[in-house]
Amino acid sequence: MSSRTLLISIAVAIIVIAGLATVFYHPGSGKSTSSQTSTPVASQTTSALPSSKSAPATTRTSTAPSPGSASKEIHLPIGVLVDESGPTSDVGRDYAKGVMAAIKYFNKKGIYTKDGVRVYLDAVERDYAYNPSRAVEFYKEFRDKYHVVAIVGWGTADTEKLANQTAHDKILYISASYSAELVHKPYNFFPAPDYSTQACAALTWITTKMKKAKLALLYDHEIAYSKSPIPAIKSYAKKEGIRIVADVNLPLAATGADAERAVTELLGSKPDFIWCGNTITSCALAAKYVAAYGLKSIMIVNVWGFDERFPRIAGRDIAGKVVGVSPWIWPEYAKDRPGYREVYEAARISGIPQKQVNLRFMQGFMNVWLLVKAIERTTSKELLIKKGEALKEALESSCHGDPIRLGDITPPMRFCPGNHLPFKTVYIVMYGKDDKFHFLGPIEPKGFDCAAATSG
Amino acid sequence: MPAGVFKETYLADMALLRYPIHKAALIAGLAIALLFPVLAGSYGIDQAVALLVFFIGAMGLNIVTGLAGQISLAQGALMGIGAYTVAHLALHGVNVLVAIPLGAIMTAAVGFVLGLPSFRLKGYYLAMASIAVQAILEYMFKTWIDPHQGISIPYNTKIITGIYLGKGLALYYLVLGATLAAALFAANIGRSGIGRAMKAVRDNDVSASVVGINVTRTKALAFALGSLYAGLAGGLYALANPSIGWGAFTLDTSIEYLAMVLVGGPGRLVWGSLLGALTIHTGWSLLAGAFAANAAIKYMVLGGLIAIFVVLEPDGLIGILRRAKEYFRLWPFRY
Repeated sequence: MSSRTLLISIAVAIIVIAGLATVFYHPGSGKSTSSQTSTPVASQTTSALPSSKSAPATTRTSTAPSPGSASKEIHLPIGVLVDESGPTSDVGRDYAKGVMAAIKYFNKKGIYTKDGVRVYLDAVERDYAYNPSRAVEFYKEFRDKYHVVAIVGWGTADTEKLANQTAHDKILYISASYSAELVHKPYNFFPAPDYSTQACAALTWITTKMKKAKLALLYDHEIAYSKSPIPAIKSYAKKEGIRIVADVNLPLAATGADAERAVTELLGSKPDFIWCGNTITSCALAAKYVAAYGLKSIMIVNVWGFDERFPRIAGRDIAGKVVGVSPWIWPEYAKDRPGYREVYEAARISGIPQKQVNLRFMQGFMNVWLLVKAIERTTSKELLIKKGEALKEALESSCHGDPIRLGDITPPMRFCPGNHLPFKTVYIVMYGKDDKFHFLGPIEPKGFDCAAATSG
Repeated sequence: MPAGVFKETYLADMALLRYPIHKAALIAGLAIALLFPVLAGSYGIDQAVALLVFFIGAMGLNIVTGLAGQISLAQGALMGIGAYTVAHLALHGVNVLVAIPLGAIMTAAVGFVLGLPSFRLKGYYLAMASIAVQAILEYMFKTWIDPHQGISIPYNTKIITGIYLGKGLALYYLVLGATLAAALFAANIGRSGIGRAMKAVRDNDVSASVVGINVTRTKALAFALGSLYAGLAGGLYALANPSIGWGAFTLDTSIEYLAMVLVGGPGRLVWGSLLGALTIHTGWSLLAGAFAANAAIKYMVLGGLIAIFVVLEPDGLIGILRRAKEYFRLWPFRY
C-alpha cells in the first residue's frame, strides 16, 4: 500500500468515525436521551447527574440524621472562583476565606431541601488571579470535570463574559461582581444592589450635601469592574445637575506613584467630590494623596474600595474626607444581630480570629448563604433533576412569594425573572474624626433606573 | 527478505511516510486520537482540544523560528488576531466555520506585514522587534478591539446543521481534523522547495541569496505561514471557549510558544511541535496547580527548562528520541 493510499484511507476513516461518534455518542448520558451535539439548550435540559466516576457529586443513601422522612443525602458540587493572587486580591483573599468558611459552617450546621433531604456542598476552589481567560478555563473545568450546579464567583469581566454560557449550561452563578450587566441575566444573582444603583445612591447623597457639585471620576479605564457604573454615574449626574469635571485613569493595581500622578491630574479641576471606582489599595493610596495635596474634595469610594482597613492604608489624615458605599452594615458594627452572628460563628468554626472578620469575609459568606437559601427553597427531586435550573427557580420564587433575608444583613430581597436586582438601598459610610465609621442612610436613587443606564 | 528499508524509486525516497515504523506510529496515534474522547470524558476533551490548539500554534512558530530561523515573540498576539477576528465576525452573525478560515487569512496578512522588520533585522534585534509587535497588538486588544475585557461569542454562530460545535465530540473531531490538515501541510512544507529555501535562509542568508533564493520573499512567506497557523489556532480557541479575552494572548503565551518549539525540537515541524506542546502545555498546567500560591516558581521552572534545552539539547526532545531510535534500530550492534 502506498503512502498516498494509506493517507486517503485514514482520512476517510477519520471522517466516518468522527461523524458516527458525533451523531451517536452521548458521553455520561446513561439512559438519557440528551445529545451533546444537539442544540446546547437541549443538551443541558436532559443531561445526566454527575457520575461518581468523574465528579465529586453523588446522591447516596445515608443513615445521617435528617428531618422528615427522607433518608438520602445529596452532595452538591459547587465551584468557587476567587482572586487570591491577582490585582484584586487585596479584597479577594478575605472574600475567599468567607466563602470557604461559610461552606464549612453550613455543611456542619446542615442544609436541608424543602422535603428534608440533607445537602452537602462539595466545593472546588480555584484562584484565577483576575484573569478572565483563566476564569473561562476554570469554568470549563467546573462544568466538565466536576459537573457543578452552582458557582460562587468573583470578578466583573469574567462573570459578564460567562453569563450567557452559564445560562446555556444552566449553572447558578452567584458573583462578587454586582455589575448592572448581570441584573437581567437569568442565572446570575448577588445579594446587593448593582454597582450602578449603588453609585446613583451615592450621587443622591451628594445632592443632599451640595447643589451643582463638581465631580471627578477616578478609576481604571481598562477594567470592566471599575468602568461598570460610569455610564450610570454620567447619566444620573446630568439629571441631578452634578458636573463631571475630570475623568482620570487610576490603575487597579496602582502604586503610590500611580496614585499621586492621578491625583495631580485632578488638581486643576478642583472637584467637590471624587468618585473612586477601584478596590481598596488603589483608592486608599489616592485618598492619601488627595489629603496630602490639600484638596478640599470628599472622596466617595465604590463598595470594593472601602472597608475597615482603609484608614490604615490611607492614613488618618483622610478622616472626614472619605466616604464609602456599602449596601450592608459592616460586621463589626452589628455583631449581635441575626445574620451577623452566623458570620462570626462560621469564622469561629474555621479557626479565623474574630478581628479578621470584616466586610469582605461577610460578602463571601453572604454569597454562599444565598446559595443555601436557594437549596432550602427547592425539593430534592427538583434539585437532582433540574439542578441549577431548580436553584434559579427557587431564588426567583421570592418574586411573588416570601422574600429572602440573610438575617439582618440585607433587607428583604426579591429576585424576579428578568430582573435580579434584590434591593436598591445603600449606606454611606463616613470615616469620622473620632476614628470610627458612621453609617448614613439607607438611601436609594429616586426616579431613575441606574441599572438600565449601564446595561441598556 | 531485504536486510533493511530500501528506496528503489524517487517517489519512495520523497514519500511522507518512508519507514514502516512511521506508518505503524501514525495508525496507532490516529487510533488513540480517535478513541480518546470516548474514554476521556468531557473534561479530557477540553484538555485535548486546548493541547491541539497549542500544537497548531507551535507548528506555526516552528515554521518561522525552526525552519526559517527568524525569532518571533509575537505568536501569542497573532493568535489573538485570529481569535478576535472570529469573535467579531461571530458578533455580526457569521458562522464560526466561515470565520475561522477568514481569521487565519487575516492573521497571515498581519503576520506578513509584521515580518517586514525581519528584512533588516536579525537575532536579538529581531526578537526585540517582535516583542514590540506583541506589545502594540496587546495595546490594540485592550484599547480598541476588546475594551471590555472579553468578548462572548454567540452560540448560534457555533451551530451548524443542528450540531453545536463549541463543546464535546463535535468540537474535538473538528479541531482534530484541522490539526491533522495543518500537520500534513506543515510536513509537506519542510520537504518542498519553499521549505528548503527557508532552511537555506536559516543556515546562512547570504549564501542563500548567492544561490538565487529570494531571501526577502522567503522570510515574508515564513512569517505569513507561521501567522496563518497562529490565526487558525486563535480561531479554534475562540470556537472552544465561551468567551475570549486579551489575557490569553499576552507575552506569556508567546514565551510559552517559544518554549514549545525549543523544548520540542526547532525545525521538526510536526513531531517537535507536538512534543513541545505536550510537554509545555501539560507541564504548565501541572505547575500552575502545584504552585498556585506562588506563580513566580512556575516561571522559574519554565525558564530553567528552556535554558537546559538551549544549552544541553538544542535539538529538543525530538533529538533525544532520534538518538534513542537510532540506538534501538542498530541494537545490539553499536554501529
